[in-house]
Amino acid sequence: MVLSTENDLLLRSKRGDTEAYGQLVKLYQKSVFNVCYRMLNERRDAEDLTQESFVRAYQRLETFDLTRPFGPWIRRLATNQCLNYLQRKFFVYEELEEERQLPSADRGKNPETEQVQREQAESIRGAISRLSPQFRAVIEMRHFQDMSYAEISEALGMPLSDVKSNLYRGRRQLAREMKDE
Amino acid sequence: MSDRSLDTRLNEYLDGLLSAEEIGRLKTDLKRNPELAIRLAELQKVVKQFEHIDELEPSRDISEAVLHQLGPINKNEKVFSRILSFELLATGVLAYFASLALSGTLSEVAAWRLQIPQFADLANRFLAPQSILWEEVRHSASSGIAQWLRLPALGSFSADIIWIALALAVMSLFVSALLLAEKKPLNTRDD
Repeated sequence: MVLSTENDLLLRSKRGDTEAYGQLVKLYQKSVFNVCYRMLNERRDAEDLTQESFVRAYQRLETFDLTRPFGPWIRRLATNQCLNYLQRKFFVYEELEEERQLPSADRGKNPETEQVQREQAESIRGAISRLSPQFRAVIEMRHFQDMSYAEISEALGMPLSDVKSNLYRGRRQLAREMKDE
Repeated sequence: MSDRSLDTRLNEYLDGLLSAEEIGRLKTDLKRNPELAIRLAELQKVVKQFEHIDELEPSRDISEAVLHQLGPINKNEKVFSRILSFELLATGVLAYFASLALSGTLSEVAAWRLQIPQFADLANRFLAPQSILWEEVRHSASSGIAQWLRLPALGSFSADIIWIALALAVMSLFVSALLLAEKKPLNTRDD
């Protein structure tokens, strides 16, 4: 049902129906925003990059294969947009105070557990944001988009050996950071 | 076993890519090498930590902003295609007249330089009004241009040159519009 709706929206979007595309954006904005947020760890930048990714995707809809699902495609595109952004700009990790106070979608009911989980999430987000853009991208694609090494290699235009090595080095760096905390 | 291949195996173990046989071998290595076991435990902890990263809601409706941004793009495309079709039509008409003028002028020059009377006939055929409309347009436009440039009445040759220049100008406008339309932002990776 969801897929047929998605296909219908995609077909209409390809014909230039922006309203249909708007509905498609509504369906995927949360997951794409989370890709960008994990990559950038800055809410406003993540929202801007999410918006930019959807606009770029609309301009590239002609090249999109309708037999494939839209979600992985737009998330991959967003990861690349973030990677390009990070490489263009020297990214300084700066945690905004407001980030701590923004509510998340699904919180546990126990306030203490909630607090611990929030701290752990913040800690790992912070650690990821200190990784190099390349490490961040492979970790994002492998752990949060469940992509295979070969898919990551294709999406990032990176040799398979580099994907494996970046993934390992990224994880090792995170492990060291987590140990230090 | 080199460290590099151990790293690869740890990586693949974490990603669930090792076969049962390879897992058996790795477990043997882990028993023999406590440092490796610690490294694996740390990596597993990191992977486990990823589960704590929950999905957040964006603070604004991004779809609205996307639609807002797409609006002008579509509008521009429509306006642009209208301009483009007008330019295409104008270029076609002008190119037709310009080709007649160019052939006529070349024949005229050839007849004069080479002293071949047949070329003069050919020139007349090209430059003679192809239709009443052509003659009318050519005449009024030439006098208009002459008046605008504050020149005495233009001879057939000068008028033709101006026609050619005009046609070239419109064609170059058309080509630049096409190039502008094709221009895409530079981006190395995006899909």
